[in-house]
Amino acid sequence: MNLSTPYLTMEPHEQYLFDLQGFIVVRNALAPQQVAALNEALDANRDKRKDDTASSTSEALKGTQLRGLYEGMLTWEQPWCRPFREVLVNPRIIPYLNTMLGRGWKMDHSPFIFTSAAGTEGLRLHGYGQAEFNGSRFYHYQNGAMRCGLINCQYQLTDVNPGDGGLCVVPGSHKANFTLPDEISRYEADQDVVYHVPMRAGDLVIFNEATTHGTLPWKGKGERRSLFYRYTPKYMHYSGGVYESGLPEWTNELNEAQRAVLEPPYVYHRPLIDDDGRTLSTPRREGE
Amino acid sequence: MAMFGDPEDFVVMGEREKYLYDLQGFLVVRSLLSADEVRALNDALDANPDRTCEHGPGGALDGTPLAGPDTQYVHYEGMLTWHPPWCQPFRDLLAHPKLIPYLNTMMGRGWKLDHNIDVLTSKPGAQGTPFHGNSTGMFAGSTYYKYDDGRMRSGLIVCQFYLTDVNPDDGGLTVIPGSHKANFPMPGYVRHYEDHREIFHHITVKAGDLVIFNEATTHGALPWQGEGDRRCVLHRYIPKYMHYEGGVYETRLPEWTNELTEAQRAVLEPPYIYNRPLIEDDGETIVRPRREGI
Repeated sequence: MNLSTPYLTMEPHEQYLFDLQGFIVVRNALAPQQVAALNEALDANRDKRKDDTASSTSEALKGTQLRGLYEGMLTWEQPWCRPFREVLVNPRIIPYLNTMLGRGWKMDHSPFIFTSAAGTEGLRLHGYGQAEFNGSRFYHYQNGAMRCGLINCQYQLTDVNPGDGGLCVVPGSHKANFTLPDEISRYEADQDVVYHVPMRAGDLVIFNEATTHGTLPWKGKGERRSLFYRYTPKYMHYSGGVYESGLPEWTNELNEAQRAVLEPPYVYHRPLIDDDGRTLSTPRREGE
Repeated sequence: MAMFGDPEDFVVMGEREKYLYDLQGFLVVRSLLSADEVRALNDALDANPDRTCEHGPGGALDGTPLAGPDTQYVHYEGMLTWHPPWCQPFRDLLAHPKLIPYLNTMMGRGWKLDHNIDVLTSKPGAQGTPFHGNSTGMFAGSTYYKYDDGRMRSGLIVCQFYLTDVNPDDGGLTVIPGSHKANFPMPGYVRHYEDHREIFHHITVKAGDLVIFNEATTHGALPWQGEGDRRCVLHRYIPKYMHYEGGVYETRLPEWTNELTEAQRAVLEPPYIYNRPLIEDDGETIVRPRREGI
């Protein structure tokens, strides 16, 4: 927010709900013809389905099959890429991202789709509130303005009815100060704090990555089709994305540690300088 | 490897240093550079007097306590790609082993250079620099200080390696201790050092000392009145998932993005702040202000 530059922001009642709960449902964020075009594109590219290997390790979230995963939609053949490109700057999301991230928000990761048929397993709850401040995944409010790190926009391309399964969240957990108990993460205790989000095709749910969220096993009659776009503020980058980057030739004269500090911003498998100042470690992720 | 909730099992700041930095928003590390390192950096600058540019004209702050007849800084540019051997002492600072515990503690490992490295020099008579920092009273995700459960995190961090001494009354870097935690907008008198001078702290250092401060900490410079030139190397660092401006890595958008609208391309750009394309309310028009609320 910049008080001297007015622009579209969320309505006060929406700000209340998102600040309170760490997620918000935006009804009819996609027009019926957009939903139809996205579904048609998906139907035409069923051969691109992969299994999502982020398998659940919880008895309560078990299923008989894995989620389907689709990626790379922005570069699918014409005309199938087009409806996904149009969602990048869906006019309906502008007031929400302006409010949560400030203008200049950018796509992070790359868009993907999860599909589930009846019997598909769930996914453990994750997202850790504010038990430790994490500069890439946070919620902060101060003096009338909210700010977030990574934000997740999940559009439904088919209906999600009560009891169907799919996205679930722990309302208010974006502000949690204590560590998420493991048994809640596995959905094996205190299930009453977990809220399943029913939606219609075309609805959007926006949630903060710090909000504890997961997936319940799919029990719906039809196929779950959820389309994900993630966004970060203009000064942040978590993973993936479309832009290409490289270091100039002269940096080959540097040692590994010196080159590491010149790399672009990202989190996963980043070279981290060990205590000797020379060797590097590249864990998948280390405390942000 | 340290993950969420785990102790940070890598080299970190000492307890006394953590206390001081948390309290004040800046820290002085004495003798971080050896005399040989200082000499090599000074020799490199002396050998490249033509690689400079002025910050702006003097006299711009006339009528304020920060006034001076000369430009506030003469900068040196492009040190990382100067001809050998002159680039080497600057390259050696990039991941200097003595910096590691400080940046590990403030940002977590994986910290990276931001902006480009800079050398600030001031001659006697140089005007000051207006005070600035996170001055709005609102949280800025790129310039902040946060503490939770024994762990601190910072956005953009500034490291000033001093190549010459700064004595009491010389002028130069001055901060408002504790201002990295301020919750109210910065009062107008602060910008030009016009009142309540008891809240300001002028930092005296010897050549080889390092000053680290959080960009959210209110900071500026008093007019330089030392006998010799002020000279320091300035590096900025930022957490692994963030980028403010400049830097060494190069980026481009792939060819297929030319098929997109301006607004769609804007959201695919890499992270940066200055002159970034911002999408107007119609979802199509782009504006590029120098900087907008962060």
